Amino acid sequence: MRMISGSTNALSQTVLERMASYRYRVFIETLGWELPVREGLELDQFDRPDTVYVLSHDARDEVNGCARLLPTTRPYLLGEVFPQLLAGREIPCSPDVWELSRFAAVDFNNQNLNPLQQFSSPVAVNLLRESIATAAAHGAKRLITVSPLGIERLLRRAGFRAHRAGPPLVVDGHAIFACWIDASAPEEAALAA
Amino acid sequence: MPGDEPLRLPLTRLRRLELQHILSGIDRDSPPHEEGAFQTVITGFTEWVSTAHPIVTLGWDWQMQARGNQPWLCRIGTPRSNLLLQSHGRKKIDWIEHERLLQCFVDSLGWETESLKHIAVLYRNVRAPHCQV
Repeated sequence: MRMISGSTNALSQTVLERMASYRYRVFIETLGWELPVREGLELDQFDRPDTVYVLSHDARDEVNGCARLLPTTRPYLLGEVFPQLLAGREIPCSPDVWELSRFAAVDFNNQNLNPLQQFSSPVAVNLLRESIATAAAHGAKRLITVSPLGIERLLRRAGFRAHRAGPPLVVDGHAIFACWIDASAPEEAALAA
Repeated sequence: MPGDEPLRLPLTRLRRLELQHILSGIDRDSPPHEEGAFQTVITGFTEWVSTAHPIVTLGWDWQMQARGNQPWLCRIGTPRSNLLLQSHGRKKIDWIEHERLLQCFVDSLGWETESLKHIAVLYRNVRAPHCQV
């Protein structure tokens, strides 16, 4: 398993297109989300030059996981599109807080794995750890995420301390919620418990 | 960082809140069927929220079991929430005790019938693949 991370400006055009194509297969074709698409690529207004990505690759060097990281000091998904998930609480805006979105770990080359099993896989755990470490390297102490409910199980399995920012809501038939994640290493979180 | 902390609440106050069911579902991320066999364990999740302030969100997983000749739901695992329970003196409760108290609280709610009813409505037109004719 190979991980790479970097901002739009730091990654090659080929890598970015593979990532957007992978997101199209996961979010549009597999999960049926209604998102903006362009020629088989899933990209939106938050895929900007300063956006940071984490990508996981399988043994064939094909993408089998991705995550998107955005600083909350600039427009981000939760603040702009889903503020209702915070149940009236203040929208985060701090260099200490980064948003994790478009998290996916569907391994299309693993025929034994149900695509809907994505949050149970070792790829998902490793990708989550790498994503949180990458955000921490950019100064994040906490992450906020807009995600399907299944990510809570993954966070717990990976040893991260997390709590909900508000109740889940059903949007376009999909239950999503906002969740706070402590960016300290799982071992530190366990010791602080 | 305002708003990033869990809701700190004594258990006594949590017990006074009315919770209402918002959604339940069956897990769709189960392992695929093996040839000649199919999965017999049905698991899922249920979500509840307080009807008044403070807004408390609680969700937990369940496993379907038989009670007599009727299906019944049993909580599995620890509930997920926006809460951090406090003691009477508003002192911090350690994480293990917090999780134990949440489990006991959920088990005392009497949530099973409402969640079962919701699941029955949601999946009344769904047949398992091996039952298709």
